[in-house]
Amino acid sequence: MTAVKMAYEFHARTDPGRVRANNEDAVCVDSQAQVAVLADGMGGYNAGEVASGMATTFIRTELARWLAQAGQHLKAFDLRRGIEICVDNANQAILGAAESNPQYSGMGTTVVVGVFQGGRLMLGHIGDSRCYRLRAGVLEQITRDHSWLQEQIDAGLITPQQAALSTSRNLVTRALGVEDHVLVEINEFKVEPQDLYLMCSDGLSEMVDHAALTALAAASVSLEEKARRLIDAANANGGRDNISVVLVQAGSAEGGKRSLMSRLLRQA
Amino acid sequence: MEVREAMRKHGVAALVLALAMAALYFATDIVHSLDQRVYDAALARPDRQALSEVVIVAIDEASLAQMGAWPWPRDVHAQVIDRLAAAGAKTIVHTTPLDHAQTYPAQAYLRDIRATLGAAAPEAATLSGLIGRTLDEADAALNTDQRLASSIQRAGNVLLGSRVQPDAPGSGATGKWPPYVHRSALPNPGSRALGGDGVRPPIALLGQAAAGVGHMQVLADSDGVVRRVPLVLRQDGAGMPALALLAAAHSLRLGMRDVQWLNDRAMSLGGLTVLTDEQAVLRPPHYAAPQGAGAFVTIPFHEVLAGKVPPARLQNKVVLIGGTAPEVQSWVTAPGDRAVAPVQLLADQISGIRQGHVVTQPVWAMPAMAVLWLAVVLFLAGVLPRLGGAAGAGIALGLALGLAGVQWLGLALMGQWFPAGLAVVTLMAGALWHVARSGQAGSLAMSQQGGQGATEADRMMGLALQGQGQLDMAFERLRRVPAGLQVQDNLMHLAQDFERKHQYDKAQAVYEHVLRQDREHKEARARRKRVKRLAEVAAQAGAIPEPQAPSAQSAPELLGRYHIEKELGRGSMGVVYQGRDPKIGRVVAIKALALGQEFDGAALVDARARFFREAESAGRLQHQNIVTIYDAGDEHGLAWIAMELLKGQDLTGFTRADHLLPLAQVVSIVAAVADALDYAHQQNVVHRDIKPANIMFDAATGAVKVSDFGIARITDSSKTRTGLVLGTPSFMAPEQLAGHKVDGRCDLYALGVTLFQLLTASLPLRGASMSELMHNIARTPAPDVRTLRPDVPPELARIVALALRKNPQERYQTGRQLATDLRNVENGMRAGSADAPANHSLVYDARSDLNEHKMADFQETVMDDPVQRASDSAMGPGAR
Repeated sequence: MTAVKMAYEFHARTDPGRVRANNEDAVCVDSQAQVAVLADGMGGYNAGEVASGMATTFIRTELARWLAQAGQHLKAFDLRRGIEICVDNANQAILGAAESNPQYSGMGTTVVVGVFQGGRLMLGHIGDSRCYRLRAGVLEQITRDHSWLQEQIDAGLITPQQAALSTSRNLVTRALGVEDHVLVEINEFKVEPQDLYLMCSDGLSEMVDHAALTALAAASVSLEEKARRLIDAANANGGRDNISVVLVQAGSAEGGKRSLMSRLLRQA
Repeated sequence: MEVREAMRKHGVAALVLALAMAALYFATDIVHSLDQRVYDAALARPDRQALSEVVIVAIDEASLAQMGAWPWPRDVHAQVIDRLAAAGAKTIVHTTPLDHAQTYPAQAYLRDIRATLGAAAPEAATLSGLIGRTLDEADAALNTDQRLASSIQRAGNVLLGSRVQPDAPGSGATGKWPPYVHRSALPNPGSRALGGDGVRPPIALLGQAAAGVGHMQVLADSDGVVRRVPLVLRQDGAGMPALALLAAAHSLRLGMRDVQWLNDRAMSLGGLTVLTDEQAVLRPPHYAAPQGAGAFVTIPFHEVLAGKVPPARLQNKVVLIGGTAPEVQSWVTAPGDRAVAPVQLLADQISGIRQGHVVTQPVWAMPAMAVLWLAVVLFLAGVLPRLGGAAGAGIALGLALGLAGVQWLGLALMGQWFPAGLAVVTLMAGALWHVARSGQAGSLAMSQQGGQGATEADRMMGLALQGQGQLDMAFERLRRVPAGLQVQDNLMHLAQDFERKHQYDKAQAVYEHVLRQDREHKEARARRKRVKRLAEVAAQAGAIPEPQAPSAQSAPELLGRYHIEKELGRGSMGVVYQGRDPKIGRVVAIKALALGQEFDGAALVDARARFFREAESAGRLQHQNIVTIYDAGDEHGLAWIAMELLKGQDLTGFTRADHLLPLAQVVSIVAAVADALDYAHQQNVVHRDIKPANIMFDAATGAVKVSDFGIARITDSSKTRTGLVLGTPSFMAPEQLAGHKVDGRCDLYALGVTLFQLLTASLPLRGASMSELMHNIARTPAPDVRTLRPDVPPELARIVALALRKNPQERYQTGRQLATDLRNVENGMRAGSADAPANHSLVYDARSDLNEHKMADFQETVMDDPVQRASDSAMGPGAR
C-alpha cells in the first residue's frame, strides 16, 4: 500500500531522425492509468513499425484495463505479475501476427514499460531501449541493456571504452515477438518528488552522450520543449536512427491530509 | 546561444509569417480596420466635456414638418440670422450650401414688366410709377438671396461654409477663388496643405456680405469613417481655412492673420496650439453624449424662427446652423459607426480646436511602429519557439492585447495615436502559428492515441488479437480501420486464418469487407467465391471439408538450370527446394533467399555482392566432409545457391543425455570434422559457427558433412537477416567473444565444445545469463570431461581439455593435429574393450547445475547485421 500520492506529468514524442525514411519506434502514454510504453521495432519492410506499434498499443491497452480493474493500490508482486502477463501476451500476439501475416515474419521489438503508482515505479524492459532517472541533477541509467555489447561489458570481456568502438552495437540479446518465451526484466524503483524519468530508444542514447543528455534533461523548460530539444540534439548529431522520448515528471508528494480530503471528496 | 539556435530553425518561418502580415497590411484594409477599431474605442471618452459655447440650430425633421420641404426660401435663413444677431450671438456659422443663386421664374416676368413700363408713353407716368413701386416690392420679396445677403451684412459675424465636390461639374467647382474668399484666407497655407480643387464657395452676393468663408471638407478613411479634417486647403499660394478653424478663431475674436505656423505639424491661434499632421490635417475628437442626446445644445430651427428661444440661450454663443435631417445635408459616418450631420461634426471640430482635445500621431510614431514590428518578428523567431504550445500562445496573445491596450491608453489619456495594428496582428498570427505547430508536434507524439493514430492503434490491436487467435475480435478492430493497402493485407491474412479454422462464413465476411473497400481486389473476389462454395458444402454435408491450404508463394519452376521439384523447408525469407540438374540428373538442394524483400537500394547491392563473394569462397571448398556447393545465381528476385542434397540429420539429436552416440563414433565424427576444418583453414576459410547443428551425420553410411560454410547459413536462419555471423555464444572461444580477429583456432575450440557436448550431453561452460556465460568462457577453466562422464578415456579427456584452453596459443593449432590425436584414441579404444552403452555413467543433470540453479544455454547463432540493426539473437537452423 502506498500512502504517498504523487502527480505525474507525461509527454511522449517520436521522430524518424534524419536518415531513416520510416519510423520503427512507437511511443504511448496513458496519463490516466499512469502507464508509459516505448518500443523500437525491427524487421523487413514495415514489419518493425508493426511490431513496435503492436507492442505499445497492446501493452498500454491491456495494462490500463487491468489496472482499472485491479486498482491503484497493488502489491508490488501483483503489479510485477501483471506487467509480466501483459508483456507475455504481447509477445504471443506479435508472434502470432507474424505467423498469420508472412510479410511480418521475423519482426521483433524492444520495449520499455513503466507503471507509476504513488511513490513507486515498476519498470519492465526488454532489449536496448532505456530508462533514465534524473534526480537532484544526476542522470542515471536505471535499465541495463539486453545487448550483446552490454553482455560483453558485464562479462568483463571488454571495457566500456572498447565498447564505444565496437562494431556490433545494435545487437540485442532479447526482443519481444521473436521467441515463444521472453523474459522481461522488471525492477521496482522508489519515486521521489521532482524525479524526471526519461525513456528513450537507442536513436537518442547512441547519438547524445551522457553529459549532454543530463544537461538537456535538467533544463528548466516544459516537458514538451524538453522532449523536442532532446530529439533536436540527436538529429543535430546525425539522427542515424529513429528517435523516441517519453518523459515522466513526478510532481511534489501530497501528504496524507490532502489524500484524505480527496478521498472524502470522491466519496461525496 | 539557444536563442540563436531557435532563430536559425524558426527564422525562416517567422520571416515568412512577418512578410505575409506586411503584405496583408499594405494590400488590404484588415490591419487598418483593426487599428481603426481601437482608435474609435479610445476616442469615445465620457469624461471630456463639449465646449458649452457651441450651440446648434438644427434644421431637423420637426422644422421640416412645420415649414415644408427643403429647400426653403433663403429669406427664412435671413430671418433666423436676424433673430440670432438680435439675441447677441457671438459667431454665426451657416453650413447649408449657398453656392447657387436662388431664383424664381416670377422674377423673369417682373423684369419683363419693368422693361415694358420703361418703354411706356410719358402720359402713363403716374400709373407706371405706381406699378414700379409694387414691382420693387415684389422684386425685393422674391430676391431672397438679396434679403439673406442684407441680413448677413447687418449681422456682420456670419461665417459661411463651402462644399467641396472636386468631381462635380458646375461653375463654382472650377476656376480661381473669388476675391471675397481671399479676405478670410490664410496668407501662408504651408507648402504641404492639401489642394483645394472642387471648393464651391458661396455666390458672390452672399460671400461678399459674410465675415468669412471656410470649407467643409472632411477625409474619410478606407472604411468610410471620417476621422480627419484638413484645416487648410491650398490654391494659388492662399489657403482656405476649414470652417471649424475659422469659427474657432472668430469666436476668439481672431482672424486668419493671427494664425501662425509653429512648425510643420502645429499652428498657433492666439494662445491656443492646434496640432495637426504635416499636411495640416486635424484629427478631431468625438464628444460622447449622455443618453443619446447630442453633446451640444441643439435648438430646432423653427423655434428660433418663431422667436420662441430666449435670447439668453443664444447670447455670446457660437451658433452653428445646419441640417440634421438627412434630406438637408447628407450624413457622414463618424468614429463608432455613428451617422452624423456635417454640422455636428463641425461642432466636434470647433470644440476640439478650442479645448486642445485633438488627437495627434507623433512624428516618431511610424518609425517606432516599424521598430516594434521588427521586435515582434524577432520574438516570434527567437523566443516563441522555445516556449510550450499553450504558454507561448498565451504570452504572444497577451503581448498583442497589451500592445492594443497601450495603444488605447495612449489615445485615450494623451491624445497620442500609434498605429500598432501590424505588430498586434503579427503577434496574433504568431500565436496561431505557434499553436498549430505545437499541435502538430503534439499530435505526432500522440500518434497512438488521436486522429490517424487511433486507426493505427485499431490496426495494431487487430493484429495483436489475431496473433492471440481471437479472430472475431481482430476483425472487429480491423474493420474500423479506413481502407488502405496495409490493412487490406492484414484483412486478407485474417480471412485466411478464418479459412484455416474452417470458419468459411466469417472468411467470406472479411473478403466482402475487403471488396467493399476495393472492388478491384481480384484475390479477394476469387477467394470469396471459393469460401462461399466451401461454406455451402460444409452446410450441406454438415461436415468439415478438407482445407486446401493456400500456398502463399508459388515455387518458381526453374532456378538457374535446375528444375524445382519440391519444397523442403521454409524460413522467413528463405526457402529450401529440392531441384534437379537436367544435364546430369543430379538432385540438389537449392536455398533461395529473397534479398530484395529484405534490402533496398545500396544495401541490396551490398547484400547481393556479399552473397556472391561468400558463395564463391564456400564454393572453393571441395572436401568429402564439407557440403559441396555447386552453383549460385540470382533471378526472380531470389538469390539462390545449389548444393549437395544431404541425407541424414544434424548432430543436435545426439546431444541429449538419453540419446548419446557411442564413444568411438563420437571420436570418429569429430575427427572427420577436424579434417574438414584443417582443409578449410588451409584455404583461409573460417567457419565461425561450428556446433552440432551444423554437422550433418548419416547414420546409415557414417558420412559426416560440415554445413553452412560462409553463405549457406544465411539462408538457413529462420528469424534473422543476412549478416555477419558472430557465432553461437556457448560455442565461442574467449577471443571470439571479445570481438578479436577470428582464425581457425576458434573453430577448433568450438569443435572442442561440440566434442564435450557429444560426450556428456552438457556444455562445458554455462551461465544463468548471457553475461555469466561470457564471464565463464573468459575466465573459468572448463571442467574435466571425466567429472561428468567417468568412462571417457583419460587421453580423450586430455584432448578435450587441450581444445578448450583459454589461450589460443595453447590449443590445437591445426585441425590435422586434433584429428591425429583423436584417431589415436579411437584406435586405442577399438583395440580395447568393445563399445559400452553410453548413457549409464552420466552424473550430470543437463537442466540445472549442482546447486540447482536454472541454466540457460545459448546455442543459437548470433548475427550482426552491418546494414540494419539485426533483429534478434534467436536464430539458427530449426529455431522455431
